[in-house]
Amino acid sequence: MTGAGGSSCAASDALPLFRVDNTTPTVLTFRQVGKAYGARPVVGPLSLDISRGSMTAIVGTSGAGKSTLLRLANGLVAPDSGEILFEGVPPGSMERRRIGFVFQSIALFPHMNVARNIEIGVTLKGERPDRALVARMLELVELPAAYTSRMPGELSGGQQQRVGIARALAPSPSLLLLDEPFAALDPVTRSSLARRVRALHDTLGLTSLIVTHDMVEALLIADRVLVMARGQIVADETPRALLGGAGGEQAQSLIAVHRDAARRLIDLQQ
Amino acid sequence: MIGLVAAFDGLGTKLTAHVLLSAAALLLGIALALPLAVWASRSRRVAAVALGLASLVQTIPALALLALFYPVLVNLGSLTGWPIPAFGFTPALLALTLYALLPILRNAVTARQRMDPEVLEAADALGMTSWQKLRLVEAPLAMPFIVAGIRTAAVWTVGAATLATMVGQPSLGDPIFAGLQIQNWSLVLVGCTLAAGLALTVDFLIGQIEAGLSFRRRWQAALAGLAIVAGLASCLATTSAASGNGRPHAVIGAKNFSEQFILARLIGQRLEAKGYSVDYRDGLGSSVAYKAIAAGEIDVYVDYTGTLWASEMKRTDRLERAGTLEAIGRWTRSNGGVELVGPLGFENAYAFAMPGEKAKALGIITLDDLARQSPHLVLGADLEFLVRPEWQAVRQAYRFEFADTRRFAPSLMYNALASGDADVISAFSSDGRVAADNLVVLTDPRRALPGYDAVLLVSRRSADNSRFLAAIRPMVGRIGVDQMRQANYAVDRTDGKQSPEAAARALGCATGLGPCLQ
Repeated sequence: MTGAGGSSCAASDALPLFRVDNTTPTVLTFRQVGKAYGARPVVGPLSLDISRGSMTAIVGTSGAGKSTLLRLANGLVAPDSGEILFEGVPPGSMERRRIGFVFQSIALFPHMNVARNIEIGVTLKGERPDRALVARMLELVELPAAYTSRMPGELSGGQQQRVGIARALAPSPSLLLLDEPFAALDPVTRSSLARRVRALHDTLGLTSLIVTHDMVEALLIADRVLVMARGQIVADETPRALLGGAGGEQAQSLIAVHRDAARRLIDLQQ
Repeated sequence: MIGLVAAFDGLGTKLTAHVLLSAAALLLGIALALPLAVWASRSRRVAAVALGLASLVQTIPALALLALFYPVLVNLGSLTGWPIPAFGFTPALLALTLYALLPILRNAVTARQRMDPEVLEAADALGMTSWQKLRLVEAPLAMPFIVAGIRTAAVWTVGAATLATMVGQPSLGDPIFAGLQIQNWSLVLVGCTLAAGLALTVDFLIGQIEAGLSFRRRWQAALAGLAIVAGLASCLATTSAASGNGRPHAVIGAKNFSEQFILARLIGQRLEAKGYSVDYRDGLGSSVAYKAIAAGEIDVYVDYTGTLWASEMKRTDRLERAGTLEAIGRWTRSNGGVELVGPLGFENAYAFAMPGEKAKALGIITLDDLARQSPHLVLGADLEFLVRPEWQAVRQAYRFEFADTRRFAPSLMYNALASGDADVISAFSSDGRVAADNLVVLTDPRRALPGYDAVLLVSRRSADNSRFLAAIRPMVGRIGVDQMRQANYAVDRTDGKQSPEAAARALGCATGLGPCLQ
């Protein structure tokens, strides 16, 4: 599961297209970043480094500041204090063209067909999308090539989110941000898509930051899990360490929910 | 019947003028509404102000809006010294543009406010600039709503454009208002049917564009768009073809009552006999007409000394007839270079008239008698009499205290007298129905009502034109009040009604000012 060498994947042919910059080990840096809405502090002040090639999950209950953290990372939300650097510069609209974003609500452009939704990020970078781009992207997210000319409204939620992921990946982003990307999907679709995202992360050598409220999802796909509560990072551990009891009370209570559920299931089976 | 057919002549030009005016207003409305909508989408305050102002405009009746633009443009013209036309196309265009603006702006702003915020955030997250977001996401998403707004605006504009008649812009309102004045219902019906048909056609075509856009059937939208463009192009082509026929051209003005229509036709027939092509601007508001001739927008029309004296010159004193004519002539020459060619020979004065039997029963002969009984009586007046200085003067002189005052279109006033909706009306001394309906005109012992000699006014440009004057000048002093009454009655009566053209021909024959046919 871990490491960038999962070359057994069928999609590895696409690898050379991604011009990943490996010169700096840190893609994203937060230095004493704070954000408040009115008098209510939402994030921080906190500091954070995201290293290249990592998949980091941010876990926490609703209102912990996870989504705001993600929007600080690509500059959609400006910090009140501190400094955010994406590849060495504060993120603006030009930098966002190199940062993929996958929304919980999917948010495909409803007036564009699948192909145009996928190509749009490449077009915005001033490049001409080559003919094979859409087909290659559809293959990466495991959608049939015939979907090219479909409108978003004609697809199921899971299919739409696959297009959403393809849209985020098409411009070869240096950083992929995923905001509860599977929350609106049914459990079966959800787990298969989560595995697919991890596989893509490995084969394409991405740097990914995924927000989820589901600890199991985080433990299964991430290399590093950040637990957030009231705008602060209260735990920063590997999945293995968390399962071994590290990370403190907040993190362990999030795991406990699932341990209880697993125990109940085993009891019921017997 | 021949007269009726003649009245329908020129409906084609009215239709094309109507189409072009509406289209121009709509295009200008779109051109203003869309940038405003973009601005409003970037600022919540601008959105609130824009929507508020647009709704305010909507509450102003279209007619009032048109009327408002007239003094605004006149004052703007005199303040800046620019030759801003306050008459005809310009005020009509501006008023209709304001009207067209509202539904487009409202729909565009509402569409923007209702857009999925996450989709807009996705545009930002992809790194779109403000302009890219507008072009690639906001505009296409708002487009169906904007087209729906344009559709509403188009229907409104086509309907409201009928009111452009009031400021001297030819439109389908011409047959409607003229027909209403002379109670020629077929003329009204034709005007209304054409205007409604035009509105329905436009509604259908833009509806096709709307459907084509929302169901992604490009050919459907393109076909409808093509039909609209073709319609506009043919209107433009006919207009430019009609304007270039080489003959000298004259524009004849008329206020909104039968006598004016008839005299305008008589002038027109005489000019046509001299080789002119003529256009009529019927239904001008009383104060619009003089300003139009002073600005050279019309070449000739008939006005009345009392009206010019009180409304244009703002004089309240009284001179005898010759002195009045001379003073007015001097004044018109120095106000727009308008030439008073001379009086036609009859008066159309304001006069109070009652059914003969009722007057006899109540013992009313003079305005003093009327004043005594006025608390029990209802006065019917034309649309402008009650705000005119003549009414102020006569009311002060006799101390009228009417139980009620009601306003009617001039020709409907007589019907109100017959139906009992009014006991006494502000009639006109040259009106044919005074005799025909057995009305008595009450005498004015205090001489509170001024004289109303009908006079020919000619614009500065035409006053220097001997060919033009040769057609006009012989009319001076040739039309007696009985002849005018007869002509008016021929148009106003219910049975055997004549068109203004036919009545003008008969008047020409009777006065020797035109040929006698048959």
